[in-house]
Amino acid sequence: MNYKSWFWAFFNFVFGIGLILLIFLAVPDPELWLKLFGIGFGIGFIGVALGYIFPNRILYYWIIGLNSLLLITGITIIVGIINSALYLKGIYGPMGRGASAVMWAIVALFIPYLIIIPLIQLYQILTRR
Amino acid sequence: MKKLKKLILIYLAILIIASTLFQIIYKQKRIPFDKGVVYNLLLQIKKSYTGDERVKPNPTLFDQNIIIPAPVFIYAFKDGIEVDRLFIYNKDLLTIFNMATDWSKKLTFTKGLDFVLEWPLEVGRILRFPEIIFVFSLIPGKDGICAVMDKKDIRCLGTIDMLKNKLYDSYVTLPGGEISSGFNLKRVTLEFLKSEINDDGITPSYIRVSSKLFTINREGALKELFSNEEKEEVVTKEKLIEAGIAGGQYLLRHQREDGSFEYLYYPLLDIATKSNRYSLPRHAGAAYFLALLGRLTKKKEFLAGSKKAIDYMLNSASNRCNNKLCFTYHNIADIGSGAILGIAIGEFIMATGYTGYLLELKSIGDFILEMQMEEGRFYHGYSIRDKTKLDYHTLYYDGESALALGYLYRLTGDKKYLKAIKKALDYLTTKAWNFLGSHYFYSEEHWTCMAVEFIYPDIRSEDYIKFCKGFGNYLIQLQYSRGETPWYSEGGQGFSPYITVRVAPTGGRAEAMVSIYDLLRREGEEAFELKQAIDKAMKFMVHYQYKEIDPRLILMPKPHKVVGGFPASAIDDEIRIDYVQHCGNAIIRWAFDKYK
Repeated sequence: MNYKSWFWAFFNFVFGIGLILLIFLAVPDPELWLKLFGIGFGIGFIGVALGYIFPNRILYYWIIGLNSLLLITGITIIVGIINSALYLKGIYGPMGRGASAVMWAIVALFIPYLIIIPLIQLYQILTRR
Repeated sequence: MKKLKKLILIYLAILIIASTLFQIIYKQKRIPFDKGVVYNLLLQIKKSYTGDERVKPNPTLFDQNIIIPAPVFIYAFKDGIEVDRLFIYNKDLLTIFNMATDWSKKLTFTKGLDFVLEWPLEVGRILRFPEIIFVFSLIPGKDGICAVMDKKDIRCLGTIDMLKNKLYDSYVTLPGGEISSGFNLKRVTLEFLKSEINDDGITPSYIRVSSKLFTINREGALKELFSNEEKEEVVTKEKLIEAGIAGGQYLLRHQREDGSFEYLYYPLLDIATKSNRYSLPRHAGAAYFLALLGRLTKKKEFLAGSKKAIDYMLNSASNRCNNKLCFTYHNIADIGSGAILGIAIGEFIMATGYTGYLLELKSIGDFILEMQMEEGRFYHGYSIRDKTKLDYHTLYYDGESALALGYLYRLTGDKKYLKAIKKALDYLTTKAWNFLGSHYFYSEEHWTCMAVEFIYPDIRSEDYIKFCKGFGNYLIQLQYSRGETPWYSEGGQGFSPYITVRVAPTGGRAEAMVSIYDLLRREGEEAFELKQAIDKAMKFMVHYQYKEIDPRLILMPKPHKVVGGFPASAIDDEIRIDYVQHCGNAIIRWAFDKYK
C-alpha cells in the first residue's frame, strides 16, 4: 500500500469520525434527520477508509457513490439554509438579521465539508490512473 | 521536490520558533493570592481609617520578599462615589501594607467610607495589533488594562473604571443588535489611558490584569463584589417570594406619578432615563407583572401600581384604529402594545374582580381579531394616517396576541376568541417554524408556550405539546452548566462562553419553562429534567438580583433605588423595566407553581 492510499484512508477515517462527533457532540439537540445524516455518512466514510487499507473492487464505486450522494445532499442542505437565512432576514427585525447572519456563518462553515470535500474525493478517484 | 521539502522544513522551523517566542512574551503570569492577605489588608485599612491603634503586619502574611508584579488598587467610596484611590504597582507585600495604612490614615476626615480592594490574580502582555485581537483580549468584568509607556510611566484602568465607564462590551454590536462585545478601544486608549495621543513617539505596550474585587462588610466579613461562587443550595419558596416581591417593589419605586416607569436605570451612575423610545409593550409588561404579583402574593400595593400603569397607557397612549382601541407610537399602532396591555388588564381583573376595564379589554380584543390573517398570524402594525394594516414582523407579537386572546376567552367566555387562539397557535406551532434549521432558531417563542399552557385544556393539541416540549428541550440545551463561562453562569441562557452572560433572556425563557413544565405535568409527565433546569434558572436570577445585603451596592450612589432590580448582564448594571418583569414573573410563578 502506497503513502497516497494511507493518506486517503486517514483522511476518510478522520472525516467519518469527525462528522459523527460534530453532529452528536457539537450540535445541541440534533434532529432525527441530522442524526441519520451523521451516522450514515460517518459510517460510509469510515468504510471508504477501510477500503483504502484493504483494497477491493467495490471501493471505486463506493467512493463515487458516497461522495456524489454527499454532494447532492450537501447542496440541498446549503440551499435550504440559504433559503432560511433569506427568510429570517425578512422577518423579526434586527433579531431576524442576526439569526440570518448566523445562518450565513453556518453556510460558510458547512461548504468545505458538504461540497469541497466530496468534490476533492471525486476528483481524486475519477482522475486516478 | 527537494527544494519543496526544504521550504516546508524552513516554514515549520519558523512556525515553531515564532510560537515559542510568542508563548514566552505573552505568557500570562499568575500572582500569589492569599485570602488572608486580602482580608488583613482591608482590615488594616479600616482600622487605621477609624483611628484604631496600628496593627503590626503579620510577617508570614506580608512577606517583604513577595513582590506583586501588577497593579493593586484600593478605592475609598462614600455613598457609591469614589473619593480617593491608592494605586500601587510592582511592590512587595510589606510595602503594600504600609502604603495602604498611611493612605487610609489620611482619609479620617471623611466619614462613612467604604473600601474596595482590587487584587490582581494574573498579569500578562497582550497583542496591540491586529485591533480585533486587542479589543477581545480582556474578559469583561474580570480584567483591567495597563499601558506601559516606559519603566516609570505605567497607566492602568482597573475593573471598576471599566465598569463605571461602560468600557466593556462596546466595540462592536453583534448580529441581533442587542449585544455588543470587545472593549471600547478609542475611549480606553485615547480618553482614559491617554496612551496613544502622545507626540513623543513612544509606542506603548499593553498588559492585561485579571483581578478580583473585595470589601469588608459592616459585620467584618470579607466579601467578593462580583462572586462566581456557584453554591449547592436550592432556592427555597420563601426566597423566591422574597425575590419576586423585591422585583415588584423595584418597579413601584421607579414608577412616576403619571403611572409611567423610569424605563432605564443605571445604578453605578444613578442615572434614570425615559428613553427616546419609551416602549409601550415593555410598559404594559411591567403592569402585567405587578398584577400577577399582586394576585399571587395578595399585596394590594402591587395591584395599585398595576392599575396606575394601565391607566397611564389608556390615558396617554391610546388611539382608535378602525374604531377599536389601539396604542400608538408615531402614528403606528403596534399589536404588541395592545396585546400585552390586554394581558395586564386580564390579569388585573382576575386578581381584583374589577370589571371597570372590561369594555377596554373587549375593544383591544376586537383590534387583535381584526389584525389576524386567515393563516393565523397577525399584522403587527396599523397605520393611523393611512388606515391600513402593516405586514411587518416583530418578535413576540404573535405569541402575545394569542395569550391576550386567552385572557379574553377566560373572562368573557366568548367562543370567537377561542377560535382565534386556535388559529394563531395552529400557525405558530407548525407553519411558523418549518424552515430548515428552524429547530435552532425558535428561542424567542416563550409567549407562545405561555399561551398554550394558559388555554389548556380548552384547546389541547398534540402539535402544541410537541412544539412546547421541543422548545423546553431546546431551552435546557441552551442553559449554561457550572463553570462554563468566566462569570457566574449556571442556569443562565446563552450561546457561547465568549459572550458576557446576560440575565434578562434567562427570565423570559424561564417564564416559558415554567409554563411548559405546568403543561407537561397536566399531561401526566414527570418533566424532571425541565424542573431541574428551572431550579437552576431561579438560582441564576436570584444570584444576580440586587439585594439589600449586596457587596455590589458599595459602588452605587443610591443603593435603596437598586434593590430588587435585575442587571442586564454579569457586568452591565443597566436595569430596564422588562428585565424585572421577565425575571420577576418567572420567579414568582415558580414559587407558587412548584410548591403548590
